Amino acid sequence: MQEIKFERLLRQSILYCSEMTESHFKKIESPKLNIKHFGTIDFGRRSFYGMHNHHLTLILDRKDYVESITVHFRGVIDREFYDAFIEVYGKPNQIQIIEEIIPINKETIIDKENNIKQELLKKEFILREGTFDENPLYIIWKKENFQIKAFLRRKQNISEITYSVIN
Amino acid sequence: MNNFDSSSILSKNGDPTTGCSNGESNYIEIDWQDDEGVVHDNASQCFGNCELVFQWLPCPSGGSSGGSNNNGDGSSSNDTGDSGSSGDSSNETGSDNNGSNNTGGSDSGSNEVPSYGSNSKPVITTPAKPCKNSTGLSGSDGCGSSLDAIERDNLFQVLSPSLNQNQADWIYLSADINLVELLNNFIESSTIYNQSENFNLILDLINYLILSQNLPDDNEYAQNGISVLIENPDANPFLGADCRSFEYAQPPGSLQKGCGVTDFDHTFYVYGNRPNGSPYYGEIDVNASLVYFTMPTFLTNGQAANLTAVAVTNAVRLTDLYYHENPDSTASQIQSYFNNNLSQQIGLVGGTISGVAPFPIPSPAPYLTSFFGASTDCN
Repeated sequence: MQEIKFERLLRQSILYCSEMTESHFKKIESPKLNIKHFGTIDFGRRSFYGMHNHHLTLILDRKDYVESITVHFRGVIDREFYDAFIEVYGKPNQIQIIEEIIPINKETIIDKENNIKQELLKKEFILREGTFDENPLYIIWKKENFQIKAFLRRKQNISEITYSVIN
Repeated sequence: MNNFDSSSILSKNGDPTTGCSNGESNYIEIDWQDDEGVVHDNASQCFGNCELVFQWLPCPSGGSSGGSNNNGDGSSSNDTGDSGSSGDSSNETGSDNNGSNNTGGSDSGSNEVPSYGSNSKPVITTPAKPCKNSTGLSGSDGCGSSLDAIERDNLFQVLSPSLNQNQADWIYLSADINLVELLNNFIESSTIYNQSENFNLILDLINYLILSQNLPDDNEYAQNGISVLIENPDANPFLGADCRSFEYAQPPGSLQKGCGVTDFDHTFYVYGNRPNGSPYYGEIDVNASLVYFTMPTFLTNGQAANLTAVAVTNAVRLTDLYYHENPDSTASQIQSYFNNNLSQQIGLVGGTISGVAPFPIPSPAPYLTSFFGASTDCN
């Protein structure tokens, strides 16, 4: 089955993206973040390497062209998905593994506005190069005009694959 | 000049004059009443401060007729059923029948609903509007037609069998015209199978807006909610399993839906390269053991769950991006940014988040996953 080539949506209009992905995009407002951020309100209908129920978010540049597009889906990328991806994009440039976790601080805060008690934990990780079999955190493909960065969020059991423009 | 022709609506529903089809016992008579109380059955014949007058009339025996005699139920002398014959005549019929009981529309401020026969619903009248008011029934030329008026008329017409006077007043006096247009679009986009369900949803929405009309942004969140529903009329598969974290309920008498979620845990990340070129990764975990969400009552429980999941996801994603742009943020800065976004995103669809329960919730649901779920929908 022919997969969506998300890199072809880079530098295109959001309307073009909407047509190609058969998805509706809705602007996500944030007063403090100076970006044009959009997300689909439904699942993508087309297959993405066997993942049917993916969700898309877009960031537009100053001229309203797509600067990056991220595919979110449930589950961590497995070997089958990885091999299929390699067939299309070749071997990745980087596979990053967590080498060491450094706790920074831990605190408890009560949000007075919403009256919510929250526990905060900040950690930093030192990464090293590794292989797919070592449970990577990031897998990165660097191409001539774009980059693909796969982020494997094991704790949340999700993956994000971001296609972005390289200037 | 008013060019709204009631017969164009009636003819959609069956009999070209009354709109009655087989099996229906009542129909809606639409007339225009001018300054002098004269009723016209065609808007083009009405001049000056014209207002719509609607009546719930019995269908003639047999379900449909040529409209020559629609006063079929033998109602009392106060009954205005005679005006039902106006469909095929010029404008005289019914004008003398719009006596005391049929002119409620001219009493714009009155909430009194005149009785209308033992087997009929009350007469629902549109409120009187100043002729020069261009946002209401009248056009910008003083008394002419306007697209706004047609939109309001269309919504009224579709919902009229179920409307009460307050709801009719809301459509003509309070409703934002953009919301009225959206509601008409929503109705048009509905399939025949879910139309009655959507009618009920709209009536709930109107009731909610009537009750909360002094709250800020109520119109905005109503428009947002309806916009989302137009785009996903049947189901919103977005977030699937995730949305099941939000088990909304609405106790009797409550003006909100509410749910509780335990272990509301999110991890935000930042990724970059150190000056020496080595990559690093940072995480900030923000965990609340128990939070509560509320959503407007016009949403179904499933729709409220889906929209909450969307709002939470947007807030998470925005916080990730913020952390990426501000990699030296402290945990409390990220927590504050996340909470602000959470409040804003949930507020856009009319909801709230709080550490205090809106009403007693005996068993809050666990927060199943942090992000997008399977294709299960919550509708």
